[in-house]
Amino acid sequence: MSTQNQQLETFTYDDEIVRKFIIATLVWGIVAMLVGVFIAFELASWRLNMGLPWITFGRLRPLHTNAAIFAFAGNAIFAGIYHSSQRLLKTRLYSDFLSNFHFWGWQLIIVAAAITLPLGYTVSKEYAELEWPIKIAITVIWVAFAVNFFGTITRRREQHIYVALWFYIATIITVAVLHIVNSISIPVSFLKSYPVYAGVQDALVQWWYGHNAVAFFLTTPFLGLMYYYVPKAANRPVYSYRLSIIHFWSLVFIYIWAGPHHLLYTALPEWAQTLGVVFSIMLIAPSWGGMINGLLTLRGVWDRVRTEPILKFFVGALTFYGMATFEGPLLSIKSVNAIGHYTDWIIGHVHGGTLGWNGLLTAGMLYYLVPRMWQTKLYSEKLANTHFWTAFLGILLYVVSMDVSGITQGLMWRAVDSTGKLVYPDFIETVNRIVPLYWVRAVGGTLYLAGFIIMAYNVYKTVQLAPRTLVSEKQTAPRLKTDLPKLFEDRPHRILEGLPMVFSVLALIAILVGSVIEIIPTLMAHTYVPLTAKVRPYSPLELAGRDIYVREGCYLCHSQQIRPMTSELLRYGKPSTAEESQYDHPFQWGSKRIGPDLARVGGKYPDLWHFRHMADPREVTPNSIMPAYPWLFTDKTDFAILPKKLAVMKTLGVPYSDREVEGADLSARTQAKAMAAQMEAQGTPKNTEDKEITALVAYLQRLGHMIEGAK
Amino acid sequence: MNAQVLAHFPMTWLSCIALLLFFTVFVTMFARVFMASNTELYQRIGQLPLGEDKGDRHE
Repeated sequence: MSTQNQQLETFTYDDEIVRKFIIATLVWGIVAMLVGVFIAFELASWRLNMGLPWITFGRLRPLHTNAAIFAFAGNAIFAGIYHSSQRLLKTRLYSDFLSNFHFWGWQLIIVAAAITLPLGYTVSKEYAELEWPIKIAITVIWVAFAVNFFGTITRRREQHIYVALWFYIATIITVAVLHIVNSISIPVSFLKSYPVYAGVQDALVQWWYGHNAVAFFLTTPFLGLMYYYVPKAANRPVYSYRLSIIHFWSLVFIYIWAGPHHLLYTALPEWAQTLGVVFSIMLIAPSWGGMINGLLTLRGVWDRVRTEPILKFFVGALTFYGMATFEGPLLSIKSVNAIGHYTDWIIGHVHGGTLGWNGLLTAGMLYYLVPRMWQTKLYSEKLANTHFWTAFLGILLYVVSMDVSGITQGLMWRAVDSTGKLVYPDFIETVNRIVPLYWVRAVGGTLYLAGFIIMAYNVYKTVQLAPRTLVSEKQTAPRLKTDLPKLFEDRPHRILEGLPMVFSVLALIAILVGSVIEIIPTLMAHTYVPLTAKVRPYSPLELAGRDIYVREGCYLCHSQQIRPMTSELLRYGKPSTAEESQYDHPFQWGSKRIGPDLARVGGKYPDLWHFRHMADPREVTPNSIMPAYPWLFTDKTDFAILPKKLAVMKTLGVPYSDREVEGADLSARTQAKAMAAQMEAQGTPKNTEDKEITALVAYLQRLGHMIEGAK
Repeated sequence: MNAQVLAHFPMTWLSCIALLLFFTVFVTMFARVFMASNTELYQRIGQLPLGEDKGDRHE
């Protein structure tokens, strides 16, 4: 006993960093949701785009998703991880400097995103839109976070690495792998780059990243938080620690394979699609294992759920997690996906997960943390309860309206009459049918935002009640003995948990197995598939137009991937092939059809139609909800940068000759001059040859005509 | 193109190995974790978050 007392060490927790991340969570949460509500109203009424480039839907939507995922959820994750890790490991964080470097660096990245995305600086890969300097900054800050976290583990005073920490480890490792692999690109200028992958490869890598950003940024860290904060709030141990072990390993192994379910019926090889479907369905088991484990932790305290807002938020979060993780595999079944893909059903599914699971869990965690971090009582439990019910109603309105809208779209798009013709041949018919549901969605989002603002007010008032000086109380714990021989006498998984680095390597192997098996054969497809078709690369002017298409976020409303289905054949033409996008750095297949698919729009309308459509979409398509793009008619195309762009494309394998690269500027001007003359003859204003609209129309007219000789 | 890729894909054994690996690890882990002799250990570990630190007193 006396020996043990001699080894007792005194330390304090770093709660200041937790407080900082909590405030950042609230601030960025409001920003992310405000932008989300605004773009929801933009879809209900196109007038809100106001003809201003910085606030059009195409530019603000990436800001909304990045802010919600990386700013709101990211700061919440860091607050929870830094708070719970110190307590689970019985030690202060490894480095105060790294903690602050992490905090301020992350906020700077968010500010950089908030400035560059509305200005149109985007790579166009969903949830990875930020340009290369910001991506490098993300890597640096993530490494700082990892060093701080693993350094804290090495200084721990608790031998056992609790299950919450495994989920944090998997998050840190996997997000690093995903971010680095998906971000590899070659810069053209300070804020412009092209990804090294193209077409089908880029699509697979992107959705391997995109799906696993959901898995390892919005799921595993929140599961870790759930395994810590639900037992704390309920004052009961997790229902089954055994189940948590099974949950962890099966989830991290299976999740990484599921990305291809975002690309069903596309030109992605079918074996990869099938793998994605199989593993997506298998995901129900670990996901529901985790949900059940969380809910059953509340056994014996269900009466408290009625009165305690924290438990209410946790139950709500777990319930939405269960629904989202049932709906996800359901949408991965090919026949269901045929209806749901590209529709609002996916938006409803995603928001059920983010607003319900991530949002409510974060709220529960904040209501738990704020009084403890500011050493006072919560200002108002009544307001917290009001927040819960407002948010709950908001989610219901959002999810139900989007599910109904999505299924309506899916069924209308595929409706074919007895004579074999489309029942709704005009795409706009399907759009106008769902606009009322866009209003309902916007109201739902507003309610959710209102609930969040109530929480921010409650936290503000709570902080005002806090003592002037917040002192971290001293903690004591015995020093940890590192006794390896004794460790090896223990059970196998117990040994593993005592060796966090070995554990981390095994987690890395678990996520790499699925990644390597899916991605490597796809990257090598050219070695076993003869590409007989001759694909002509984009002309310099078309490439300039393509970059404008990317900048304006057109891919967020228009897909470029026709699926092999009768209805799509009738509406858009023959199904897309892998060859057609083989020089697309980045791919532009899209994931949503707020407007029609554009894979074969080239030649469908004259240049003049596109010209008028971009100036005022309603002039050529009555009741269109697309914004107008007046700045394309005044802003000039940057011809001077084209040789550099073609040079980078050539480095990436696009077969441009040296002569084409060197003369890209002149070539583009010549093509633009000819196009402008033709359009002027049709009645457009004069002097459009150096305007962005001409380059964009050149690109649009090329779509569907990538293969030489093909119509 | 889909059919071409599927017909020419020469590495189907890759995904089979991965599935076998997963099921082997999963079954082994399942058996180990649910061994009766581990019950007390896991009950103890499950209590870890409940070890109250001094800052937890504010509610």
